[in-house]
Amino acid sequence: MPAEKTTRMTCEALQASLGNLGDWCWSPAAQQHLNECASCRDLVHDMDLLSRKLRQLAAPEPSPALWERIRFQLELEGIIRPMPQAEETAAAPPMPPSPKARTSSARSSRSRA
Amino acid sequence: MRQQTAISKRVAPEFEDEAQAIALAQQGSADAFEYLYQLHKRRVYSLCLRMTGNTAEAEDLAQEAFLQLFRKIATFRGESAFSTWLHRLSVNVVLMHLRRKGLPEVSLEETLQPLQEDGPKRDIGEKDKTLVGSLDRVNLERAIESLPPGYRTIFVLHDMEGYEHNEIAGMMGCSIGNSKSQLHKARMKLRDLLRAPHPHRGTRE
Ligand SMILES: [Zn+2]
Repeated sequence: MPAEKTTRMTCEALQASLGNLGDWCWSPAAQQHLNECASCRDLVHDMDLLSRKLRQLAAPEPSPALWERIRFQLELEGIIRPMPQAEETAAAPPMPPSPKARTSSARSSRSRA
Repeated sequence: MRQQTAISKRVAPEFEDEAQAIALAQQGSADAFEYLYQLHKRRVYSLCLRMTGNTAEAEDLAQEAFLQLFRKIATFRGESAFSTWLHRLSVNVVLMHLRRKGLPEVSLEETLQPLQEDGPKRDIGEKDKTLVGSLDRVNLERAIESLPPGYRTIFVLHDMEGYEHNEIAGMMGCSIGNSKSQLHKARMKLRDLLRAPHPHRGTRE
């Protein structure tokens, strides 16, 4: 059990001072507390680990049906309008008015945005 | 981890950039809307999923967020980043939904399960001193999902979505101090969840 009387900062105060995960900025008092308190060191260790793991979590993808639902509703509400130069057919995807064809390899980087 | 989207039937529309797509969406181009949707779907959906913990609810909310955005797209003048606009709107959609459901929010501290211990004393007698080995992706996702809703909201907004306490306080109608203290409790709760034995650990996705 940490000796709260002998340290200048209590565990509670140190924990209240935690800011952005992994982006710590310790005051001298906090640094001293960490030197002396294994529990708080463990906590900070865990928060650092958590911060790294959170950054590695991939954003999940919605089902393909979601776009269909949105598109249906946009058409229903007249928000999607027929474009002057676009004749939509199932075989050929419609081109935007000023198409600048991009290679399909651009997709992978784009989908991460 | 990179996942290629399976495109079976048709090629997704391509635009020079987001600004071009926005301009064409303002004229009602279906392709432009789809481009914008594809560009932002993961971020919006993951926000919705992490805040609700439910895929069906998350899709409904993501749909609502995109529809609200697309209905208003004609008014977009580019003063702020489009993604910021969409993201803030999505957060509002989710928060409105959570309010309608009557789930406890950040300001309702007393309705949340109190943590057994707030201090570091809980370390005593536990098998794992720190998280080290137990923190894999599946466990982490699961632990975030099992946070009580009020804690989950604040944790997702601050530690996953990068909002500051003053922004969260504004969105949730609570004080900055309250946002800070709830975040701390949420982190401690998450740590507890990650250290607790997992009865379902073994079911891998
Ligand atoms: Zn301490």
